[in-house]
Amino acid sequence: MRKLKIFYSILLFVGLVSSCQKDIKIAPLPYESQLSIECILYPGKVPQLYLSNSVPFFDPSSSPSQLFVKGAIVTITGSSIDNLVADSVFDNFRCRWVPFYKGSIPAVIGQTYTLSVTYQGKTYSSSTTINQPKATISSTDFVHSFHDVYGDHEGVIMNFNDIAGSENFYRFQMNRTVDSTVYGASNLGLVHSTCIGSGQFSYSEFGRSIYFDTGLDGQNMQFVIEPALKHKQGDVTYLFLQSLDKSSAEFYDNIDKQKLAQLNPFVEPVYLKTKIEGCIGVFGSAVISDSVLFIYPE
Amino acid sequence: MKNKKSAILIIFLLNFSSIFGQNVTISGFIKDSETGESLIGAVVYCTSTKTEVVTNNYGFYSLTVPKEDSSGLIISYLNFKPQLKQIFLKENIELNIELVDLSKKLEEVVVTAKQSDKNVQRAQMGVIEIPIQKIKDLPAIFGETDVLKVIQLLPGVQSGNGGTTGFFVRGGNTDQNLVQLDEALVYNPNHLFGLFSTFNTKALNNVTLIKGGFPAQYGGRLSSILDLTMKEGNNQKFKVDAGIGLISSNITIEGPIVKNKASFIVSARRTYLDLIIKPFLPKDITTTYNFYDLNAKINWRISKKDRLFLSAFKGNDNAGYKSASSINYGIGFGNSTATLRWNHLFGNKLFLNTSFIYNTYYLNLSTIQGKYYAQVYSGINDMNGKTEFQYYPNSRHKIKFGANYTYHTFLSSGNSAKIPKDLIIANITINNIPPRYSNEMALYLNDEITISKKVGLSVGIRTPAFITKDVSYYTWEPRATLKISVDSTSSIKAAYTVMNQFLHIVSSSSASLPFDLWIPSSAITKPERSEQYAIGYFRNFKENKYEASIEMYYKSMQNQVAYKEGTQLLEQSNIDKSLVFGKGWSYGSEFFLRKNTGKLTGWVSYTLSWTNQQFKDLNYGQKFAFKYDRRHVLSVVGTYELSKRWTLSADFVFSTGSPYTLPVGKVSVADGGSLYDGVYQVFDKRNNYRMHANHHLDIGATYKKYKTMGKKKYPITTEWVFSIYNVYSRRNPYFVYLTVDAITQEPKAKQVSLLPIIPSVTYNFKF
Repeated sequence: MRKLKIFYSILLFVGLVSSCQKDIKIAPLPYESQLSIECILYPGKVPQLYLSNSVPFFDPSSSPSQLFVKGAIVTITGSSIDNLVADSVFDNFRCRWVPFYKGSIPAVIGQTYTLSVTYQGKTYSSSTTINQPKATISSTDFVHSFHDVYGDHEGVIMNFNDIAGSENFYRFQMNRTVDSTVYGASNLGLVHSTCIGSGQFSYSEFGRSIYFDTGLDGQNMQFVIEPALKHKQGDVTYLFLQSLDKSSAEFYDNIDKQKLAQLNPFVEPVYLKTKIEGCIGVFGSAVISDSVLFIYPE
Repeated sequence: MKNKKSAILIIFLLNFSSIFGQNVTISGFIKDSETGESLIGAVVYCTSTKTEVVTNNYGFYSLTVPKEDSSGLIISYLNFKPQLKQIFLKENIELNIELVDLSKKLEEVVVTAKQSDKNVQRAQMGVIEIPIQKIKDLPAIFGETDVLKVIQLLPGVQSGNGGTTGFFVRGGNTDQNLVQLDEALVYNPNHLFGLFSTFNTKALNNVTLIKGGFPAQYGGRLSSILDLTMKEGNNQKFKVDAGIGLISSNITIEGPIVKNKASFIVSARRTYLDLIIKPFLPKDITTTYNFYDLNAKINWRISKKDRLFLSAFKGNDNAGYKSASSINYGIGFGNSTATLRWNHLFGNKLFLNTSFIYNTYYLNLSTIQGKYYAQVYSGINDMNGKTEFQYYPNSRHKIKFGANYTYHTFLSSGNSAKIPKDLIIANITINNIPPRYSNEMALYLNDEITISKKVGLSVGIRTPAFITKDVSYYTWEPRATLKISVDSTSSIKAAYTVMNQFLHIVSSSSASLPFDLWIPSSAITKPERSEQYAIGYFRNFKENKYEASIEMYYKSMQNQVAYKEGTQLLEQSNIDKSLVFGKGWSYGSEFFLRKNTGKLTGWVSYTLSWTNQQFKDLNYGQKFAFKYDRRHVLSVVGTYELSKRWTLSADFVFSTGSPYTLPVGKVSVADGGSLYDGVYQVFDKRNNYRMHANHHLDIGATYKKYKTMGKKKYPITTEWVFSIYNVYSRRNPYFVYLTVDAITQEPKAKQVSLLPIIPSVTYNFKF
């Protein structure tokens, strides 16, 4: 019996040292960087366009400033031409600068806009028309626990009537003021801000999920959303409902599904599908509802 | 009226030969002299007419030749001593023959008669018979001899990743293999993780793999037929054959119920790996792993013309792994089959087999990985009836015709989500899964025709149908194999086959565990269909001591199934609506050289192949390499009889790595990425990377000893089987996954391997 035990011990040892897992070096496939363009027009607001390069997957650079593309000629043409220029804003939450191209002419409802981005001799263009109906939030509520494909959450409930007669796509928006005690609610464990001390900053958060009104035309709809940032009882927020154009809705739904597939190993992988020919990205629009005050009850 | 018509048909068939000439028929059964086991695929060769016939799955043969004064009859079977009989061809002869098994004799026997050349002369392609003894001699993981491990060493067959037993034939998926044991379907022929097959070799009589040129009696799968026949049981004396191994033990008991008339065999195997490794595991790890399989068979010779067989099989796996790490799982699955068969002889030319079969399969798997869980349940229940006539009107025709009906019941469901906050994960409730019923049936006719001494043709037609409450599919499948002899030792063959498949496995492309759901065809999920063209050159050398072949094939496969991008199974999911459909195609060349006799036996096989798939809704609509597309696969297998007591064996396998998918780039998305890091993956195409090449060398040695036991000097045979799997402990990839470095936050890839060097010893004894 003792000999058998020794034998199995040796066997197990050999098995443990020579099997299981090891890091492997992946010889990267030749990869040609692609331009990524992202711009959503909001009525009443000046355009803001994020322009970056994609990089090889195992490349260490991933911050917005590392990937930002400088020197592009960016125009958005509606009733007049808006030449966008490079600008940036400090992301208090992640403590980093986020560069983008910024226009000077606010977008208006009913207008068709054409985007043109010229970079290294190539021009990328796309159009969007802001003609989505504006949604109205009828009521809000809070639920301590709900379950969806992402798991268990506490959540903000948003009730509204779908606008009849059109194909509509919605996403959630919450504006609030946060401080350094706020941290991410996601399971990726976003760190709380380390760069603002006890200061406060305003934060606008867009929902990752896109809601389609397929089969629900003109009916009552209800979303339950868990915002990305944690809250305390009595926190004051303003809720909005964005009505997206179809192109933007499909793009953001696609990246939402990809993220879910990255997190959940049992979800089939999702490939990014672009809405602008020749590059990755989307040029679209969203009409934002009137705000509704929401105070966290717990 | 129907009965009258049937009677007229039978009378016509029985008299067919006499209508066309003065012939005599030699018929009978060929058996092992010691055990009474039927010898399947034994060759009966008539020297005067130079015609031959091969025994069927019950050891029956029927050879019709012109009347003559006399002729020689050579009866041969691999590893058995051939017999030469001188017979008078004046009238029909019933000739039952018993051959002596040479592998059981310690003394050296010189075989003078040449081996069979049916691989060259028969109008069949892509058919490989594997002698059971060869399976037993080859080195095995943990000493568990394994039929599927040997199948993987054949040309045109590829293994699963990391040494697992799943097998893929000519670019087909695992569900495209029809695996049947005593005619009963076995939906999952593997034990856990595919490390072992579910078939206990000690209970098997015959194994045949068909990968192309399918005869019409087979259908329902696109890529291969693995036909396994259980032993019938020794009808002469009681025998016990037992083995004690490192992870399992087995016992087989067989013997006569009524000598020469009825016999039985019972064989059981059980693992105890979990009990053995338990003391060595860290305290925070709980693991269970056990499997068992049980085979039983009774056969009863009711009369000279009637025989009954009742066989049953049950195999079951249970495994669980719980630890503080991020991966936990629990898995249970099993196959059960029961087959009742009746053989009847109408005269000496018409053989009837009628079978009633019941088989079940289930898979119940749940796993947790990180903060997510997934569950699947897949259950199948089949009731099957079939009848087949085998008619040998003369030496030029071997006709098979029959009908097959199966009533399927499917239960399939899956569920995956984030683990609830209360950590309570509700199991899939089997009673809540809506069953799906379907009827599958087929009629078929196949004739193996000897057109001339040089030309042979196997031609057949199969007409399958599949009916559910929502949809019906009727189709037909032409089959043809042509053989043209170049000379007495070589031939050229060509085959064309159409196959349909009405049952489908849907597998997760991302999970490492077997998330396989079986579903039937429906209005949405159309039947899979393949067309296969093959051509080959076959040649034997040195009186059939060596056989060699080169085969080339092209196979197209329609209506292949895969999950849509982003599919997350929920209990209420309509699986059909989560699928996308596409096509696949595979082509390649297979080289095979086998030495059948002598001290050194074995084979070398090499396959060069390409397999691609294309789905409109996957991979941007572009073609991509199939998950098991491997450019090169080489196997070298050898067994050497060193002495009367020692047999050495070795095999070496090399294959190109399997393709898998990794993103090629990453891109920042600012506006929609607020919840997470805002970095998304860019894929250029599916299966764009390849794992490292897979190769391993395995060696084995068997020491046999014959002795006697007790006062009555019962003969007992003992065997020590030593083997080392993966001698140089190559870390062959099982799968690769991505993770993020905790410090640098950069992505990195990890490779998981399963089977390192595994030495083992098994002690077998027979008395």
